Amino acid sequence: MDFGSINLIARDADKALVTYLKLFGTNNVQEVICLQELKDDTETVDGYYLKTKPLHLGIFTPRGAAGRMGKSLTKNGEGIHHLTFHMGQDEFEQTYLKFKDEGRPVSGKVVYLGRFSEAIFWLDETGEQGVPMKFATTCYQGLTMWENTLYLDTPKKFEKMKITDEYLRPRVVLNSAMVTVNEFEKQQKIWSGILSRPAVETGDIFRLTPGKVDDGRGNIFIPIRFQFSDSKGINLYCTINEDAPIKKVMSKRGVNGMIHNSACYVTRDRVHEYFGQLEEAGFSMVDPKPALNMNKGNGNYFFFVHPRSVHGVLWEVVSIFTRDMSARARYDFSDTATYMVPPDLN
Amino acid sequence: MDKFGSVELKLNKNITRGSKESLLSLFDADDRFKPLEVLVNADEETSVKVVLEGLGEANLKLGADMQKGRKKTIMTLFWFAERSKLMEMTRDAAKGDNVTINLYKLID
Repeated sequence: MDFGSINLIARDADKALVTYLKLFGTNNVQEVICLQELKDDTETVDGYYLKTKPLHLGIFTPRGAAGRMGKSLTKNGEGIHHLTFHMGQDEFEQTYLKFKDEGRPVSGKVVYLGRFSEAIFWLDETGEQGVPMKFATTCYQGLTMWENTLYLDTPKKFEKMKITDEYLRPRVVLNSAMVTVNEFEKQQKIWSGILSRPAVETGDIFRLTPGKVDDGRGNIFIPIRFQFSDSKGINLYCTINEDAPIKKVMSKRGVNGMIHNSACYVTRDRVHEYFGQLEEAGFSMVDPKPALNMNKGNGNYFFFVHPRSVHGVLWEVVSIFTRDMSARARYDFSDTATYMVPPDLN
Repeated sequence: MDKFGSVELKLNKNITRGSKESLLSLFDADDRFKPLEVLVNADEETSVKVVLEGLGEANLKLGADMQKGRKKTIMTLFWFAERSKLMEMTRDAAKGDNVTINLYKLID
């Protein structure tokens, strides 16, 4: 299983596409696929699929309010809706059956997207994990579970977009989603079971020791991570202070889990330049400049872009670092151009 | 005391004289992101007198160097701790009232 994409819902996918090209920079988006009338078991959506590295970004506008994304747009407005996980066909079919056996709320039927020979199923937000998840595969043969599959001639139309606008940014890498949960111990086990990998405590991201993080805005939380290839991962955050603003938002929404924000990473010596580019482009920057994270000697700069200017998604931007499969972090100087001490000493 | 900038924002709640409020508690996100033009250069950490016309005032420190002519917002002028600094309200005011905020650069 691999972490494939972060997917958001927008009222106007065309506008959101322009926003995200400006955010990432057209130089950081390898391909944009325009999707028309993409159907699944509950609804039809239109939108775009941005091939960014290493995670992809889906932007979808639902037709109507009856399906999963439509309901969410009506209830919560724009923002991240679901995370998608990719896997080989055999693992995909086994995972569907396993989740079903475990009593998880998966789609009644697997959905086959005819035009792509891909199959998907949903794990609905009513499950213990609290947020919608989608599992997808590219089929190499007919599905074993064909009798329990909804075969759809969809999407009606798709094409690789020719992007003529140019927004140049430093290297921006999308690789993490942050999920906030209650019931920390229980949720670690639930997520670990779904993602088939251990939870790693990341209070100190370099030495992987447990620890609390104070975000300076009233939330004190314990961070853990589920690591995937190419530095991708999901951070599970549980606030431990009762008056945490995140807790209040979850309580107001009546949810046990929530996709809180996405994080992208930018060339280490160009974080401030990127901040200036985004501010100039009209994004709603949350602070005066990038902040230096001194928690447990972290040493990375970070800043946030407010959801009001990015279609309901809180974006975190951090100095780029890599993570190995144990989730251990290491600064990434691979495209840093300006330094006093050569970065290849280590 | 040079004028640093000015912006009109809308109160998001009723307030009573004597209560303590901050830029964060008084204004919604859309207002906090309303642009204002910086009228004079100022270095990071420079104190700015923030005067909420007829309501209250506080001295807040700039979170970064500011250049004349740039568009900034309450959010990009001040760090969270400064935006949260409490000031005493000197009169009652109603939710939805427009408040002119004048900012003055203090000697650094």
